[in-house]
Amino acid sequence: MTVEFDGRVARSGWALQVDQLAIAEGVTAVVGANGTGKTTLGRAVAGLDRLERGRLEIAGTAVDDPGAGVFVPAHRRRVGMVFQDHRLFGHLRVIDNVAFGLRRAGADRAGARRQAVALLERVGVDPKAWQRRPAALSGGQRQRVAVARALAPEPEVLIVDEPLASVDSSGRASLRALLGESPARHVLLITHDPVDVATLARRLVVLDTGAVVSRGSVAEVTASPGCEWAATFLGANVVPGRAQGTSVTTEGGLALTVAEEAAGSVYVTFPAHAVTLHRDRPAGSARNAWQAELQRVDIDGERARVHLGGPVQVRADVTRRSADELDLRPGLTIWASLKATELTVVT
Amino acid sequence: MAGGTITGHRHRPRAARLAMASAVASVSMLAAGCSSTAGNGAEDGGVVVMAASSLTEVMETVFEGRESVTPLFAASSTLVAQLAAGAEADVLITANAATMDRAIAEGSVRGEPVLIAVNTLVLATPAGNPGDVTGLADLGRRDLLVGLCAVEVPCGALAQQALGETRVTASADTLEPNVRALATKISLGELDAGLVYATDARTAGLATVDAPELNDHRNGYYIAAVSAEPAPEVQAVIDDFTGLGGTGAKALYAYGFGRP
Amino acid sequence: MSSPTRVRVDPGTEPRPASQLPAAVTWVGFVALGLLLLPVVGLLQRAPWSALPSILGESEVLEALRVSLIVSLAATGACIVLGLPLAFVLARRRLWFPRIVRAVVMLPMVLPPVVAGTALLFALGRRGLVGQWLEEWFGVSLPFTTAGSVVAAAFVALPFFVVTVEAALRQAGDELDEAAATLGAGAWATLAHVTLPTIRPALAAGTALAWARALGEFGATLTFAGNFPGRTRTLPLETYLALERNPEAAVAISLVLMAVALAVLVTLRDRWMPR
Repeated sequence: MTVEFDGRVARSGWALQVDQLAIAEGVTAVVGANGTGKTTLGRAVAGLDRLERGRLEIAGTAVDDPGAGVFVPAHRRRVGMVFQDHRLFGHLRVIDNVAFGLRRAGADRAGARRQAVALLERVGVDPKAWQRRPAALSGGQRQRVAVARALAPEPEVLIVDEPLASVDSSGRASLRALLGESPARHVLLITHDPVDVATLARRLVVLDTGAVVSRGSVAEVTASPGCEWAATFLGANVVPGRAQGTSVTTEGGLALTVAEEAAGSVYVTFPAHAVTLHRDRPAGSARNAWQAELQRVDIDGERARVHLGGPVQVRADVTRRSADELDLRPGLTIWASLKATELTVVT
Repeated sequence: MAGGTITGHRHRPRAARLAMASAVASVSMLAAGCSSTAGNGAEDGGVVVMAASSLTEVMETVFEGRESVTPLFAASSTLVAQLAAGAEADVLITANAATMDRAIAEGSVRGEPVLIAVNTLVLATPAGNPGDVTGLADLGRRDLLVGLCAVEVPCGALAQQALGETRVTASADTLEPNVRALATKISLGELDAGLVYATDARTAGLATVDAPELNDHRNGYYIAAVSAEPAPEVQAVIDDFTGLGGTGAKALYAYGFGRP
Repeated sequence: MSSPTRVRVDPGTEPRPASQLPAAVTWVGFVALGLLLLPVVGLLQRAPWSALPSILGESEVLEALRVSLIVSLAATGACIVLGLPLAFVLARRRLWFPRIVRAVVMLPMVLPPVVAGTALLFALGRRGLVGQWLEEWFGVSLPFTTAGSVVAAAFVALPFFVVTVEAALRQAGDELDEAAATLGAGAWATLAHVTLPTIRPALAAGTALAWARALGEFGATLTFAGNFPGRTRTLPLETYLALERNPEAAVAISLVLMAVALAVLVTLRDRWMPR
């Protein structure tokens, strides 16, 4: 079963043009800079925006085909959506927000509430909040309720718009786990967060100025990101580790010093261009230095992307000129360093 | 203010008597009760004349082109109440004796009242008499829409008196607090018949049906100076109506008012 | 509530932010308040308190009260049934000339009621534009009937309901409707379970305002529907006539109308209006 998208969605002043995009089962991350059409893509799949022309199919059935006069409205599509701004129903208690979709599908009140409770437990909403109205909840709790609400009617496709934008750090891991094991066959993850991509996505769709510029498996898209923004975004390193104070120990045993304190299992992220390469052990302020094995060098115009092995798998972007100066070749052992201020700790 | 029309305009085009336009204008007098007046003419040498609203057309004819006279119109009872509340005016003309008596009793009017005209009730129908009204007794017909004035206002009191004496029980559908509004509704064909003043029937272009029983029922129009010693120009305005040859008196008769 | 860390704050002693208001603004504000209050005081001071029960117990007054309740409640019902769809059209549909359409909707608010009544006569009267066909085809004639009073009252009250509800619909936006759609709610279910509950405060406020307006309606009712005891003579008409006959009675009835209106508005402000 796939979602097949081939068409154009007109917005005021611009349009999203998608050519023959097939979205397979599993988690697909939709990435791109702001205003490139990520949300519009999701809305069109959900049936909130109409195609101007083209065709959209879900599991072999056309749901939007203006040429043939076909438009299946959102409420008949079995496409769930977690909105960036949550959009919880302010007049309903949390439990009834989650039960809403079940009730519309014909469940009786008691049954719908039982299922809602199960979901609320699963997404980790504090039981004290179940009988409250959404306005009384924190942003993170609201986000969980929104996820539970969207999952409740068991949609075929789940669209999640910036899922972790408003979640406090403590809740991210569990929410991520939840999305990873989502019962929806397709999850379309609209995101800005490299950790989401690294931990959840199997496939990627890159949008730039209203068009799909790259698509495929994470490895394929990383190799050919299609635009500068995506190249930088996907070049970002995501390293798992365990934090204690301002020190994070990676699985390979490397201790990295970070600027902010954290504890427990975390991800350390840093852009590829933040990594500096040296022939000799660097002196000075960069305390995070280690010896790495140079595995591969990809030259892309004036940029060289260096893949490093060793205690931690890292990508480093350097200019082609310094790559030549350092005489970078696979098999070389080289020093890599990172400033603590370049590191972001994500839990 | 909503419809608060004590009309004080001096120049009004004759064409305003076209049915539609005058319907709006005269029906809007219904709300006269919620307006207040500011009679300030006396101070700048002008004369403010408060007159019953049934005199609107007459007054406008008489005072046309006379910048020094400002006529104000409302129901007689409203005018008397406004005078009592301190409204400034020089001359009061009421549509019956009772209201003039009240103004004198309250001390608002100190001049001697003079009867200048009478108005008779007539049985009026829309032009063409679509309801085939033939006499006063037809006011009892249930198939007709019949309008009378509310008993609280002079024309209603008069109608009640007349109907009582002739033993006709009118099956009224509305009791209008304002005779002009009643005449307008008849002229629009919304009512089939009603009892209005002869002058209003004439102004609104209504057909009238002979009803000799009504002949004895008439209202007197009284004029009086507000002050006991009116200024000469004020007295001149009054004399215009009291003297038989005055332009005021002529206009009254021309509009269908009866001689006292 | 027994938690010791919770301090009960008396609303009267709540600290207020330091005011940046120029003194003159405050003064003029209070003058305006006085202007609004003065007529009320005037009415109260002339009120025949001891005679009140007997005046209000008069059969004419009770009859007018009955007509007023029937007419105002029916008019309010009409405002809801007709006004709700209109508010949705204004808030959610793309209109050809939105400003003009909106102005037309507000027209009865600014039109002198007497003119409104006259216009209704021209439109729905026995010889009116539409009224003549109503009479011919259905034998329905609205003027001088209770139904006519309801039409007149609904006409002037409708904008109050529509404007209130439309504003709430605009403020609510369609975000929640979209969310409901993705959860499988069709148009009617969304309307019933999301949109209307979301704007419930505005629905209540609009209903109360429309009712208060209908209850106080005078000019349009008198002009369009006339005045007949037990049929079309509402409390405001009774007041107007009483003014000619017995001013004390007029004051007494006005007091009742005022008390009702105040009760409605105070309740509104406390329960539903944003503070």
